[in-house]
Amino acid sequence: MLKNFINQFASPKTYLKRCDKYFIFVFSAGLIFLAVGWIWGIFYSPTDVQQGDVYRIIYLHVPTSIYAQLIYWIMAFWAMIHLVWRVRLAAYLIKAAAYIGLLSTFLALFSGSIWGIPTWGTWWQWDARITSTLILFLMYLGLITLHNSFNNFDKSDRLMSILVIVGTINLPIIKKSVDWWSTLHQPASITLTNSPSIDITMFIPLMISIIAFGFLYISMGFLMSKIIILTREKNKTWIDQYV
Amino acid sequence: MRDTQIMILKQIKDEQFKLQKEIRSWLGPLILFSLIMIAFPLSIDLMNIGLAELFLNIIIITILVTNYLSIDDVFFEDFYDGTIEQSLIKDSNLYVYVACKLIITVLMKILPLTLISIVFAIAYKVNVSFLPDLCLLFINMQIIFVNMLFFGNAISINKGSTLGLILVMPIIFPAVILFGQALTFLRLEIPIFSIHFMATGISIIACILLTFVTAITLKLHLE
Repeated sequence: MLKNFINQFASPKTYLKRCDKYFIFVFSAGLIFLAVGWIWGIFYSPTDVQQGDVYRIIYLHVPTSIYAQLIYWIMAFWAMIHLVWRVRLAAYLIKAAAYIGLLSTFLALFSGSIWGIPTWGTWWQWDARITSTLILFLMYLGLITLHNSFNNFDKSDRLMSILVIVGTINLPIIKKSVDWWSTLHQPASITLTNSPSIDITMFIPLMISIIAFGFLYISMGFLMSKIIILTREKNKTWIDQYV
Repeated sequence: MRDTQIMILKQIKDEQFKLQKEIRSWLGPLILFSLIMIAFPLSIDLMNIGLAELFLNIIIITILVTNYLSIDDVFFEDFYDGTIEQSLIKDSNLYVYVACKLIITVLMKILPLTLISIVFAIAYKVNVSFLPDLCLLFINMQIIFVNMLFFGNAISINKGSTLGLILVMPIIFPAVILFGQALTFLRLEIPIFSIHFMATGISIIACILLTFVTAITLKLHLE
């Protein structure tokens, strides 16, 4: 059953058909959730006692920060699949995800900087969490650079997979940096083990925004991977039929 | 078992011979390190700032740069003259080859650099009681750096070592933070046993796992 699933998953042709089929639903769901989450969060959530209205940037900052790290874990999973079973599609997905991870990390850093000006009095601080997120940004950049610097795609796919797996040693450090070092950045307000430390009226739109970004990133992933597959498999006969 | 030991010893001997022939590859970085250490007090106002404190601030980055320069293109020549390919055919994997390179690097580059660092620490009047801690920290730090830089060199073997450095630098940063914290604790005279244990653990894991990953990466380039 696993073999059948992997064989089905491994086919770029089948994957492209599924992308085309599901893209519009995923993208629409993302837009709807984002509209609901942001309208609720920006216009109907109460104002924070300490920070005033500026806290509302969490509806951008928190989802992008969560996905910046989550995307790397997903890439590590695909890297394992690519190295163990030599599934070509997994390599395409890693590369597509690297671009989305780069964008998400940039948005997290950018929105954090904007949030930092009124709350911390500075847009940048060499704080453990901010610096480790910058490191994550550089890691994504490095992966893309590595892949683009080789002409032999099979080799660059496998090198990228190895680098992704080695790079995962940084993820626990990024995640735990706010707990291990005394930093300016606050500890996580939402964890899997404890109840959220923010009010429920702010928490619900935040969760909706997180789901919205998930859908939007998946739809972006569909598009990116489609571009990569069409470029890489352009000499295959099935591409002519598909196009 | 005995055959493996003989093979490893022969490999180490070969590597040592190669390094002895290329004196500039290990002496150059040591001289560069010494020059930076001699030059940096000249760039500051000696009357106001304690050199012992500045030494602890500057040492990590200087060691990192020196390590990078000392193992710049470490596999490059072997890759192009077929030595790596030969090792692969002979041993069916490159683990022993990379491990031998690492052992020679530790003996001929890391240990001399650590000794010179300690000499400079004494010269800059760093508290003598810190020296054993500093020695252990420098060795662990360099083993981690060198392992990562080996991996970086392996991954970008035919693209120049700068690409490798760019790729592994983000992964090295947490180690830089850890050692920076250790030196701060040392300056504040806080015991750093736990950091020693952690750093030693990381360097042992790095020696085992990264040697393996580097060997796989080199093998991949030959396929």
